[in-house]
Amino acid sequence: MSIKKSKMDTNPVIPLTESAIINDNIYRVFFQESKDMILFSSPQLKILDINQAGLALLGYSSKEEFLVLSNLVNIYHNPKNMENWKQLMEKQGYVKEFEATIVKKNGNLIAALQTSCIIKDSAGKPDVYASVIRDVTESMRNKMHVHKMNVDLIDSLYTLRKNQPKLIQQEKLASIGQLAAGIAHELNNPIGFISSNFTSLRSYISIIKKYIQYYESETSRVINGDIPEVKDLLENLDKYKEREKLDYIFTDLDDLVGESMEGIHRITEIVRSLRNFSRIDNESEIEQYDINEAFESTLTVAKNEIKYVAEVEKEFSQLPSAECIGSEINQVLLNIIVNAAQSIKSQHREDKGLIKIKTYADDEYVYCEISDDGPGIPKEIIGKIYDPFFTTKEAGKGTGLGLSISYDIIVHKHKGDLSAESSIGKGTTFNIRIPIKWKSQKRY
Amino acid sequence: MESTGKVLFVDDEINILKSIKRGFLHAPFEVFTAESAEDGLRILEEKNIDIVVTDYRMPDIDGFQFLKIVKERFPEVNRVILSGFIEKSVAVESLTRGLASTYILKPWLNEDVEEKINHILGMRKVLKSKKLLNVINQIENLPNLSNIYQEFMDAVNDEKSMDTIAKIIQKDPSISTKVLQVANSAFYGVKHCTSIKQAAITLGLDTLQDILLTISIINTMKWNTDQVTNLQEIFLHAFIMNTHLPQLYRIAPEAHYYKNFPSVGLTYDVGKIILLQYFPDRYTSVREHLENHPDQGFYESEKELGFQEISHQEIGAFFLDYWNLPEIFVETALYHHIPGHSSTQYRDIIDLVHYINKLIYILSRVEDIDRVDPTQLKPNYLSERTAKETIISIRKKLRKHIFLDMS
Repeated sequence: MSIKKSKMDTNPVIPLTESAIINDNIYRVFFQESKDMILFSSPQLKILDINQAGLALLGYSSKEEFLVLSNLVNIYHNPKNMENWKQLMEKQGYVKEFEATIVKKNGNLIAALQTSCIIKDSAGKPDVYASVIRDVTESMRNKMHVHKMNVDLIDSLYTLRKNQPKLIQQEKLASIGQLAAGIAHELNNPIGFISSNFTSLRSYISIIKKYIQYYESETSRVINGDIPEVKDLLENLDKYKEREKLDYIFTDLDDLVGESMEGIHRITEIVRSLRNFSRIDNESEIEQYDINEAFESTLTVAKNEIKYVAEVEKEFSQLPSAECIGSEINQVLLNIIVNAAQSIKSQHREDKGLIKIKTYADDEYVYCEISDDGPGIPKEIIGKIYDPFFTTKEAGKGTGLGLSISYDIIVHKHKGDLSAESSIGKGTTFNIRIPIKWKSQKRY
Repeated sequence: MESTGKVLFVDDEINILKSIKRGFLHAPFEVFTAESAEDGLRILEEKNIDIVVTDYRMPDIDGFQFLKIVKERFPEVNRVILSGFIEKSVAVESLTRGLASTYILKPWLNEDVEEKINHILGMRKVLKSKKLLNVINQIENLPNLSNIYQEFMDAVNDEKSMDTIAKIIQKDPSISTKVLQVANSAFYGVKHCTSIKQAAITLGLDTLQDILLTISIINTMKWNTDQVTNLQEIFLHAFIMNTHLPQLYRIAPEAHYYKNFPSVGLTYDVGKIILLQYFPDRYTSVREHLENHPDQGFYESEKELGFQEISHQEIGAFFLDYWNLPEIFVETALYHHIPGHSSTQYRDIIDLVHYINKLIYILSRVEDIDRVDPTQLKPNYLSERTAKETIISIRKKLRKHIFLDMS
């Protein structure tokens, strides 16, 4: 063997000082004493030699015992693994830190890094494959541990990500409610004095009108009189009245005030509904709640979603108040009503759809039925509608959380029931059942 | 036209005050306005104000503090909140602490506010009428309600510990002994409550509050043994009322108020207690009239005997007002025989008191319970079944006793 001809040595040769003359003996001693396993084989993979560290690592007591294995393939756990190494050797003439799995004498496995080079004979033909094999089992084990922890981390990150939109959605709904209620409160003062002022204005106007009527009836008697100055003056007043269209103004004033009052009344209703809907005055508290009232304020809030799409038919029975968290019940009703409106809208139909809302009660529960005549829900997916993230709306339109949150609120928190029946082409009916007495152990 | 009263509006927004002045330009009462609590207090000093209507959210002194000051310095003045921003808990607290008699939400309707003010002024007129005062003035020393009840209510509102609450009652040995007597009597079916704390735990704070209010009222007066039978009957009826009122009111549509006033059923007939104590002759004459006219009620007999203007309603309401109990107590006592006269806000409660009172009265006189028709008298929202159950339950309770030892 002539190691000096090694091709592996592509690095510049370090000049050796005279005092350290390298002879073959030094290489031999290094081979024997190295604490890394060194192994020589033929290009046909016949094992030629192994050092002491190698024998110790693999658990053989003598070189003879080891050499019985004769072929390199016997120390690889997986022949495929060895095949890869061999191919690399033939292709690039060396292998650096190849990940090999080596079998010990007792059958245990070692994770190893194998660095190998080819030693050629004087004719330049591959003569010997030389490998340094380092045991990295321990560090691999650590690495695996770290890896497992990483996997766990990624797992929990995924769970977090999965739940985040739900949390955000709940948070969002809550803060939308607060914002709405905040605005509603700010509007109360101006609406208060505007509406009060309009009421006063109406009464002022009627007083002024009566006064003018009285004035005119009194002066009309004078018109027939003889005093020319007075006659002129009254004629001028009549002309003025005609020019400024006072007759029209007087008849229109009532309409003007009436229409404005109606507008104010509508704003008042909207503000009142917002306040009721958000239940900010009574947040997250169990209260005696009138479910019919809940529908009314929810319908006002959802009006914009419904009004061009569907008619709403209400069939409300007289209900006892139910002990529930009003803001959450409103959220559920809003979800289901808006879903109904949107499903009708998705049909792009000519006529308006119909949303029917029915309420009734027995001794224990308040029942609500919300049905639409929309497209209906296919049998295959009706079981999935309460799954988080399940949505039939196009991407970005729905979170797929509305019904899942609704289910949570009605079934888990309120110990009621939420179910859906649907037939394709006919529509969908949601049934809600809310206990009249608060049942859950938890006081939220 | 003579003014029916003086009403002061307090709000930090001048536009509100101006709109109110315009709105009540032709109202029968006189309107004063103040832009701040300080201004309001100054006007209260100078003018003889009947009602203060205040905003809740104001800079410096807010509505809650303002009402506290007014209650302390001008206890005669009726207090109302008119606000857009008011959390329910605050509103309820103002009502239960007796800081306000009612609250009105902004935006308001002038006619609603006017109706409420007229109603309050009307009640004040009755309670301060010469005829009533002439009757009241015959009582030498007006009975004063012990502070213990108010202290107890405040402690409950502040969510103080059971020990603290029990200690308040124990301060007065006479009251605490009697509270324990009632707690152990057959009506509640609990025996061997040996301490106030134990009574509070077994019966609940609401019931303890009821008993305390009852005892505090009885304790304002001295009783001799021949009055005790009548007194026990009045209180048995009161306790029955107070048990059934919340049960039925819960079924009423839009039941908002009662939850916060659990003792309101106890005091509706307090006028009878006053009559029994201070006007025994009149009480006896009404009872005798009743014996001879089994188809009549107490109020009808009073009317026939010429007491209709100052009946036990007015007398009871006067004392509840004098003892600073919340408006709902006063109104319930004043109108329980004529619920149509009550304000819209308490109308449904007073209707129910009227109904239950009729049942108690009939059931304590009729032998055969089947002769009582459950469909009669009942409010529409009550089912026949509920009415029937109520009748049976009242009948049972009428046979029980409330133990009161007056010695």
